[in-house]
Amino acid sequence: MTCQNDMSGRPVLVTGAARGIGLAIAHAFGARGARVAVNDRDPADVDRAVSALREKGSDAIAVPGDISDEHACAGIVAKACDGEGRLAVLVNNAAIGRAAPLASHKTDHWRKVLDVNLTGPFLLARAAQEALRQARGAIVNIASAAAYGMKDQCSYDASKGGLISLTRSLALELGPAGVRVNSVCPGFVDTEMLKSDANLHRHSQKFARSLPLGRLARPEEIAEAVLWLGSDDASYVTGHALFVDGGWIRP
Amino acid sequence: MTIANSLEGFTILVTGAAGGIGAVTARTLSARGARLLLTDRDTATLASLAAELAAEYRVADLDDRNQITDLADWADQRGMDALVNNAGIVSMAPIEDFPDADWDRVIEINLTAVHLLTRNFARCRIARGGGGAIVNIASMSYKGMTRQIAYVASKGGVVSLTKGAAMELARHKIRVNAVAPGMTETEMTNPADGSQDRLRLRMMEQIPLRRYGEPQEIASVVAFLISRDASYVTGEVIHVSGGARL
Repeated sequence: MTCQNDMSGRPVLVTGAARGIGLAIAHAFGARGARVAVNDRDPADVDRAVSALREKGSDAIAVPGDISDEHACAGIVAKACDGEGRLAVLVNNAAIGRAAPLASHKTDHWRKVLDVNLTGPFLLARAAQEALRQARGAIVNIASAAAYGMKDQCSYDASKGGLISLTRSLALELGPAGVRVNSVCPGFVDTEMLKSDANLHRHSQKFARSLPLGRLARPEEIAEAVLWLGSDDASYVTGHALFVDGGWIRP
Repeated sequence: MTIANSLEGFTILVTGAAGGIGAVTARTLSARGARLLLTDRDTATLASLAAELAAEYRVADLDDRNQITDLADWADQRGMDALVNNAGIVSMAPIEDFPDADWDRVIEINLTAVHLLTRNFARCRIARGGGGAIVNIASMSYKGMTRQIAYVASKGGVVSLTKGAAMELARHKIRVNAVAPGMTETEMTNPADGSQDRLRLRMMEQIPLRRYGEPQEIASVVAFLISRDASYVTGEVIHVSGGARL
């Protein structure tokens, strides 16, 4: 039996990894032997996630920081790299969003969403590109099926559509160096965040019944797709947007 | 250490198993624990591959609809719960000279046979309570390619068939996805006589990863899509092209 998706000892950086999909991604890489650098804004949240990973026997370190801050990104990447300055996988997962119709979609909110969801991945990719080239590594951007449009989410939708385009652009540029760049586009995922909003949870459960697979995704199902794209099993896949959405969008 | 992408417990029918990508796919799926059922027209190669993988095989011609029905029954009796529609042919000619007989044969094998095998797979699986996975081997040429119009149209058809079947069969817990390979290292794209060498260099300039894919790199995508790791992925067409033709 061949052991697939082996990430033994490889340095992996996951942003927004304190909870939800990001934490599931960190666990997936950790379970395959990766050295996972856990990033999120709040250091206490990051420490909790690192402890949870270590309890499962995974190798994890804390790299808290604001990914929309150019200077913070350099430090986050430096800490995430191994001793030779290499980074095997960068997972841009951190994202924010709040529903608001166009008329009340505040400019500040728009800017903040674009800052975190799109500028952050750009800043981290730029900061990490040399480390990724050294490792012939991979970037996996967590975009969203919302890139195809969801009502009252204009800033979020635009940020995720932009992230898919950023993915394609970086795939062209970094491909000759052997660095692969892909995105994963989740649909609705059954996270604690979704459950914490009773209204949203009810709405998404109802929506999920209309999907071909008829249910929400588990965070682990997104994480397995991210792990696969980061692994050697996807060695000829780059520039792709992989929809993990139960058959919803079918682009 | 968790073993991901394990295919233990799956019984997979692979069509076109004697071909370049088909044989490597069969070996990969077998190495990950699947039990294999192999089919092809080419008896000798098929038999030796089946012996190598301790797999069962059945020779069939996919442009014969009766043989497809028999093949599906044979596979169902052996517990088939996944299907890889890999068999395909290509015919080269400019549109204005494209022979009717070539069009019919390419569409029959590349598209109609995929539908018929999907239909029979669905019947068998639904009768057994549902569940299963289908992976269709399409091609990046569905985006357009010269001098092979039937192939291009057939692969576009496979992409749409994948999405339609994914929607319709999801309620039976059958996932349907496709892999679209770009330029792949096979005897056809890299003949020993070096006749493709200049074309290869020109093509590679157009590929972000600057090389052709290995059959193994198609096979590992097929393995992922069949595995439980892809349990929320359906109706997807994964481009395995080194970033070409994004």
